[in-house]
Amino acid sequence: MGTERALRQSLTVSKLVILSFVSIVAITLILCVGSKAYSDVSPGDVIDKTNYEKIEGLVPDRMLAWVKDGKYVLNVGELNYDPAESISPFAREAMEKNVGKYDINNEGTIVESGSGNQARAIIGHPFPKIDMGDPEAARKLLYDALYSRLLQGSVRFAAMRAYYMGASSVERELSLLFKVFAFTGYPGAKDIDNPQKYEQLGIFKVTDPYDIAGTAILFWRFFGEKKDVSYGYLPGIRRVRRMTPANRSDSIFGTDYSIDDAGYSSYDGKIPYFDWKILAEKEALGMYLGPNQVALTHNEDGEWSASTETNPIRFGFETEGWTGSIWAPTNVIVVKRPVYLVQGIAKDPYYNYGPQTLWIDKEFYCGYYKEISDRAGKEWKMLHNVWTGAISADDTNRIVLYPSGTMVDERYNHTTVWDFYYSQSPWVTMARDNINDYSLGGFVRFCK
Amino acid sequence: MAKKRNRRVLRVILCTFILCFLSSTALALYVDKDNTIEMKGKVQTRFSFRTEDSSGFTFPEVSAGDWVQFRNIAYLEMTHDLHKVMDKTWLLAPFEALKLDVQYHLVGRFLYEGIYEVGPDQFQMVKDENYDVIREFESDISLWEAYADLSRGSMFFRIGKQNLSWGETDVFRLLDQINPLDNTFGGFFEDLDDRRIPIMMVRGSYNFGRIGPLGNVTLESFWNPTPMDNTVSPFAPYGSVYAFPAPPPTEGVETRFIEPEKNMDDSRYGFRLQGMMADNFAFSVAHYRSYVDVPALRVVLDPGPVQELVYSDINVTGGSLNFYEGFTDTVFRSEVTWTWDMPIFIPETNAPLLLGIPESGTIPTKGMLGFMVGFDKNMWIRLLNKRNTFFVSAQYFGQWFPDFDERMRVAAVSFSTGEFETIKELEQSMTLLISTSYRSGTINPQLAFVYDPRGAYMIQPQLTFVWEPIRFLIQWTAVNGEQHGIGFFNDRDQLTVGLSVLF
Repeated sequence: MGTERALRQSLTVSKLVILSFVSIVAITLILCVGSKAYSDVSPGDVIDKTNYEKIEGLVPDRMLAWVKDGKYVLNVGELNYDPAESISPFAREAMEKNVGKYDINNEGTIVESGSGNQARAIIGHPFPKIDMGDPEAARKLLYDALYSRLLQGSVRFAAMRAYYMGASSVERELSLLFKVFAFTGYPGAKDIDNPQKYEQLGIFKVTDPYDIAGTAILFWRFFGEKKDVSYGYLPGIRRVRRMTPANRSDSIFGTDYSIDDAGYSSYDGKIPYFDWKILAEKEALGMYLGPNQVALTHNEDGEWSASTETNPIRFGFETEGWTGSIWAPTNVIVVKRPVYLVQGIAKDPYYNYGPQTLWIDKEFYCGYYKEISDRAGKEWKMLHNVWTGAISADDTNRIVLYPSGTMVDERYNHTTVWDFYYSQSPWVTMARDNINDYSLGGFVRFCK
Repeated sequence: MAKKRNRRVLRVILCTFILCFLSSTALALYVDKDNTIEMKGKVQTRFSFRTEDSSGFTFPEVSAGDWVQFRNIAYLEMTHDLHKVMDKTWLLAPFEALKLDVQYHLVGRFLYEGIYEVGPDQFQMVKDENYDVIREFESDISLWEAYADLSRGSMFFRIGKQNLSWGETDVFRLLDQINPLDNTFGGFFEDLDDRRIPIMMVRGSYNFGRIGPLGNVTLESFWNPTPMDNTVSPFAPYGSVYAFPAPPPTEGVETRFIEPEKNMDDSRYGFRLQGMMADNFAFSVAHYRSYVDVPALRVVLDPGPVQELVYSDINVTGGSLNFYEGFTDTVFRSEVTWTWDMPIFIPETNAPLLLGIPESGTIPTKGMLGFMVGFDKNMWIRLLNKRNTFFVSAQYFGQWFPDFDERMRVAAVSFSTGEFETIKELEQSMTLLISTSYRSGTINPQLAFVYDPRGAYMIQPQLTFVWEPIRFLIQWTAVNGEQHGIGFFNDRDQLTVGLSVLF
């Protein structure tokens, strides 16, 4: 009896062991297959609703859902260049020099390490090496993203274009001139007299449609915490009118973007006005124009210009036979890149967004996605951007270009696509600009 | 002749309308491959209907529901940036040699007010009885704006037919009386900018940049040589829809308009210095000479009685200030002007003949202080709009005659008393504007409110719909209260429907 019981017990234990072993092996296999599904995208793969599981974790959940629902098709590609190298020689050189040179003060602004003085006329990225244990790591990353644009000097777009889209059609278009005068980021900035401590000055001018054409906005951004100063010219009253700088989460020109939604990191407000933290490091699929860099040339004014005879990006609404969303870009590629997930929460209690999560390239400093929740923390909008590097033929200049951004508001079933770089809108950097244009007196040139 | 012109105008309006639809979007057209010549345009038609019966002196009599406005207007605009073509023609060689950036801007305007031809009988009768005046009034073809911009560094010139607006005040004009206003087609029922009349002007500015503690120091000046352009605000003919309510013209009494002479001495001119303190307080000080919008009245003997409406010149000195206040997140603005020689109306002085004194009248003037304080604020009212703020703008506006004369009156007769309306030493108004937008800017409601503490108010709600390339407006204007200020139009409540097509 005892032996029988012992034998039965022994058999039970053996069964248990075998069962456990098999379970463990099975679970491991499942996990491996599963994780192989996460990272098993290769150049040449086409990800659509039949194999969307492959990109789980590599894109935000919203994007995954779009692919699953057939709204999006992602073409996995590879780049023939290293995006981390898409910076000018002076910026590359500054990467070594800037290590430890700058820090973040209690107000969240950049200061010179040691002296604690406000840092101005920084060349290149201020924080080329970021320690992830640094409590200011997120803020430093955002400053690096900001400087990815500032190191291009003054920038000009002749005709940025926005498409306002409903579920099935393009409702309207907006076209505007945009230019920025930078006081930091590039070597020439040191020679600019800047007693007012401007970081950058900017002008937007609407050129179409007719009823708001002529509307122009002038803004001055300062180093430090100081709020922006902005003025608007309204053709309806023929006057320049002071605007409040605080409604940054308000819609801009009726688009699905707020004023703060632009920028290389997908945040264009003042960095100290948010609390930032890094949530995770991971791999992600970022959108690129194509495998190659676009060409930078000198235009007749001696400025660097990336121009194109065609419209490089095609969207769903203009692609024959496309059955996905009309706002989806249909001819871009996605490339696996290392990113940080950065969370931002506005300090302003009236800000119209709740927590936002930015997916920022660790080396390229560009924002691929921004997940936006409402003030109750519920999912609301998602921004996704297309990028490319640009290089001159003699390799004396390299920059990061931002051809397009798309903000999808699924709650209101509406989307805005910005097209920054197309045939009528060359990307001009190191622009020859008249700083006088950005004064109250000079701004009249842009007013009807 | 008038019918031919009207038909010509209508043809242009129709062509522009077709062009708008052919372009399929509201984006401008570029006519050259370098995209230096941009063309855009707009066609608009407005229908207004009275929502109350007319009363008092309003002529002709109108009933609630009557159609009172059928205004059709087309604008064709062209802008040519010559920067890219400087080296392509010898004509621009001087500009290139001087390193000037040059562009020019042309606007053609085609206007046809159809109410006098196809509207209610009473308006057709007005035209029949005052044919020459109304036919001049009802249609117009003009090169509305035509100017060239020349700039280099800190210097900027704009030369040609243009609008110029100074100051911080909306609705009313203090520092902003440079261009004449056309109040004949709607007065304050219409946007101020739609009423501004461009005039030939040379305008220049120079940005001095930072001078000591002041930043953005800019000196600006303008000169409108009257030999070239002595345009003044037109006077709405008796019987036209938006004419000021007045007794009918007296038979045998001629009405004569005295406009500025076409000589240099009568030119408009002005100077303005702008600057900024502490990168927040933007100020300006200005002085200019211009002409009144509403002509001053005098009755003279020449040899019989003649009613003269005189466009007196005025000299205005003033300043403005705006700043942003962070705690309340509000922009505050203010403006103050001193008009050295504001023409006033004292019946015994301007029109002694009306009191049985057989003398010619004269137009006395007095110094007048005008002032405004106001604020602009964007605020979230999430219960009503979760995606966009509400823009709220309010103003308190006043006019004070320090050397007030109890005999001063408004040159307008009250229907109820038969006397000239009184004027107070201090006249005041308040305005409020609230607007927001929905559905990605395709639905734009707005509410405007004007209040005169002497007992009159105007309320004007409106809704604009955008369905590219069309804009649809529906607006209701109601004026109520005593016959002071805006109250003179207290029987003109109207519903307006407007359709615009853009390209």
